[in-house]
Amino acid sequence: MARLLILGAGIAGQTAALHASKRLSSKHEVVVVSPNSKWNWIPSNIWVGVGMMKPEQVTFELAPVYKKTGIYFHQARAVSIHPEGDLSTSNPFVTIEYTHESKKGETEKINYDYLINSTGPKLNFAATKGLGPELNSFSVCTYDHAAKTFSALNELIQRMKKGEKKTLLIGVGHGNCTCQGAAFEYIFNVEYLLRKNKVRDKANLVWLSNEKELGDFGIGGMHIKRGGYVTHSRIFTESLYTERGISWITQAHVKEVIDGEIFYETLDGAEHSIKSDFAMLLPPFSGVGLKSFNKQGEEITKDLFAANSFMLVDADYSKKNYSDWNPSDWPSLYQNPKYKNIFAAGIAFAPPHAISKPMQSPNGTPIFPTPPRTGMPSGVMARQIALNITDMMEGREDKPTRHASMAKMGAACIASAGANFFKGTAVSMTMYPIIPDFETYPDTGRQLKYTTGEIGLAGHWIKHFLHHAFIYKAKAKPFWKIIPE
Amino acid sequence: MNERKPYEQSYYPPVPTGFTKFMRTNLIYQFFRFLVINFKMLRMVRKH
Repeated sequence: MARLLILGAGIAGQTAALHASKRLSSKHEVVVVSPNSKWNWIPSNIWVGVGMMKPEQVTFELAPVYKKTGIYFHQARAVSIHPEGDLSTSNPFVTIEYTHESKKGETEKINYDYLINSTGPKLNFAATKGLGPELNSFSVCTYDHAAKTFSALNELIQRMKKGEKKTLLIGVGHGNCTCQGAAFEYIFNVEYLLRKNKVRDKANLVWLSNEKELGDFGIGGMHIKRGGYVTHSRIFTESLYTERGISWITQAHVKEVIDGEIFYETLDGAEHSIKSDFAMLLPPFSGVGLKSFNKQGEEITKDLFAANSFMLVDADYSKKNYSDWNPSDWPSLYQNPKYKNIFAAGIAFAPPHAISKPMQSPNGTPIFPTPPRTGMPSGVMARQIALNITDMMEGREDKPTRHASMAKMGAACIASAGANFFKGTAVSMTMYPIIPDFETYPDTGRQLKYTTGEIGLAGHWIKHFLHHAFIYKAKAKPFWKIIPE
Repeated sequence: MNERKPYEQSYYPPVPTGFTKFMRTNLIYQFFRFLVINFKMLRMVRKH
């Protein structure tokens, strides 16, 4: 008997758990550790943040699904990894601390033969003074945050209905944030909601981001063929912002958020501030802060994790200039180089570098997006990791054989720009590869045949369909496996 | 809502015509686009 231990039950963790349990014979175990009792389809938190959905519509209880699929579940947070065991045992284990009410605070050691770290990020609000739903800004990162954000937004709309004018600032709250796409979806859904409530003329909507230009999205933007031209996403994004009457501030690192005002530095080194009645600013991400110890109990966290607490895998982490970056820098197996039975999927793995070009202000402040690795890529890499591990557990292979590099992987993304079955729109994008490859595709870094984008009602239909399809899949309902990642 | 004024940020980007905006929510055209976008996405999925 061998045991696969999975830390985290988000998109990556759930994908890995379901594929592994489906493939493994009954003599093996799949164990999931997650601090949350519920699974959350995070992309739809945007719709919770504008009141289109309730938190119950984007979540479900994990325990019944795991019971049905024969997966062991511990509602707990992982505290430390002991890849060599300790003085009392040579079996590797993870120490967990229960978050479930019945055992809250109790700790336990869980042995493993293979480990997948898919904890997702720590929402690092503390990186910016005053940032976060506990302080002076809002967030849509979790369904709770999103519900609280809608409550404040709705209150603001009621005041606008009485004739008050308001400024709403939406974007990212630090110079090294990722997930600009989520903030993009939120600002356009807010804009749609304001129009629906007939208060659009009372609102000054402002976008605030660390991107060099609009349409970067942490992937350096992308070129698509349209209207007889090969055009960068910057042009399409600026067009959409202009069409919807949204002004934008880019190249910004938010330094402090106080009640009603945001202070930020721009790439030229200048200091600015802007007053706002409502600020939804996404936080930067870091790893969740797992520690690691060797057999003697000495800390070896640096063998498993980068300085930002994301897990080290088979990437090229050597310091390189932007001009020396290569698609082969990116990992394809997501396997820790020292402990070969440890893998990381989704946001939890440490990227070798950014995708957008790193930049800093004359004051030395880094202001550029960090790489996104959520959604479709997260699911694809988790599936491949699970297949590799199950092959090894069943004795079919003695090392991982399936690769899932983001440099050889495409992605499809639907960004909602207003949710309504007849009048809504969404931007539908596909790109290949995710990591630009300027050697193979010298002009744009991507294959134009597979890199496309358009806005329309069809995108909203697909977004809505995917919401139900992925929740169906995550619940492991009949034929879930035919729904792709 | 911000208005477009010469030499300001929103003066330079292209904006869609009324016809383009109409087609974005035209049910018949969007049904066709629904099929096309799904095809493009499935083609992408098959590359993995």
